[in-house]
Amino acid sequence: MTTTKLEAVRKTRRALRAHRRKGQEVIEFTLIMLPLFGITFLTLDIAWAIFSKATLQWAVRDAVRYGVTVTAAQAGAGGLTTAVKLKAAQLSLGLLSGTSGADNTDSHLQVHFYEPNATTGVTDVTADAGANDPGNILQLSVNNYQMFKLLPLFYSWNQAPDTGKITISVASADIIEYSNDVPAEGPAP
Amino acid sequence: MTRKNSRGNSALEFALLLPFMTTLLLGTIGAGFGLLHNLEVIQLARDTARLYAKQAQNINFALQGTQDILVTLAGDLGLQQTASGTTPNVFGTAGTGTAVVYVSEVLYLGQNLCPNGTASCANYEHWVFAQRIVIGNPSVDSSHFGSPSASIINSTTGTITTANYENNATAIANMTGVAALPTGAYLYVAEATGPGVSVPGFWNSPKVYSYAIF
Repeated sequence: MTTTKLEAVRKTRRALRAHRRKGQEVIEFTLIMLPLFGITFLTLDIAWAIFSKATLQWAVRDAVRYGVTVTAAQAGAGGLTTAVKLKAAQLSLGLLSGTSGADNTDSHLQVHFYEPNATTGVTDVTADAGANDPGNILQLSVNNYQMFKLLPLFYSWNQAPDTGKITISVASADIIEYSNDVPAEGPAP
Repeated sequence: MTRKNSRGNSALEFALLLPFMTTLLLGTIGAGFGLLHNLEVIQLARDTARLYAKQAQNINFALQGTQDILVTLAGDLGLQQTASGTTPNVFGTAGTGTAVVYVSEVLYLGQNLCPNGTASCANYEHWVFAQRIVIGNPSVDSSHFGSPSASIINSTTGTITTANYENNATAIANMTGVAALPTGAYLYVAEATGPGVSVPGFWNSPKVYSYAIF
């Protein structure tokens, strides 16, 4: 065999080997891709859940703080509950939205009024007249907010993926400050 | 020969890397869910301390109606009050819940409260507890600021008498690092502990704790 022929054969072998190796890489990548994506999206989902919860919690806390000090003139015609819900929606970075963007109509938002110091059980006075009298407690909550997952959870190859949403509930409460200009209660809860 | 070698290499590398990757992943999951619970106890401690500090407006945490408001705030932390209608849980009958809230009124015994110094106040120049109320299950966690003896806490109101907080050694609160307030001024402290997340061997945080001082 001459040198040139020998070289040609070597070249072909090299090419074949490279080709085989490339196929193997594709298979390896496919094998690793599923767990890799799983891990990536799991991390993203956890971060997304923490972000949503932190944002909603901050929104209700600040809205309650606003609610216990707001005057009738600032709260406007809708009364206290409307003003507080609107504030929470505006602070929620778009997570809470009603019929027209950040407004007070998001159904997850609820305002309750409690009378402190009952000797037995909690006294929910939301439906009573004068529920928002100074000295009572204003509680704003976001109940069962449904947060979508970025990627459904796959538990097993032969089961349908879990596309259910993650439920988040947050609440904050504070005592209503004394004021010369107490706002109307507004629609409850 | 070379190809065989490198194949063994990658299997070995994968085996070496696997424990680190698994630790990293399970740690991330544990830390993530722990963080979610942490957000809840921070909120609970803050809201409690803020309400507790409003004693001028007659907020009384020794009463069950007020304690129940905290239960609604605690969400899924599992804060449980003693059954409705029973004596308020002032210094902590062990409940079955998974969370606990301690509220404490703390003051500094300085010159104007104890003019004779240690002669009349054994706790002179110390932070002391003037009230301690436990809401929830005290076996979840003890207070990080100290535990006044149950014998000096009034079982109905949670208050500690002047004579007791001036002289009883267990009334001393460990408030290291808190900037000094004018003597006689009150601090309102709320501590909340709830369940954490544990992924055995990878992330261990069986409880999450937070406190707020007003």
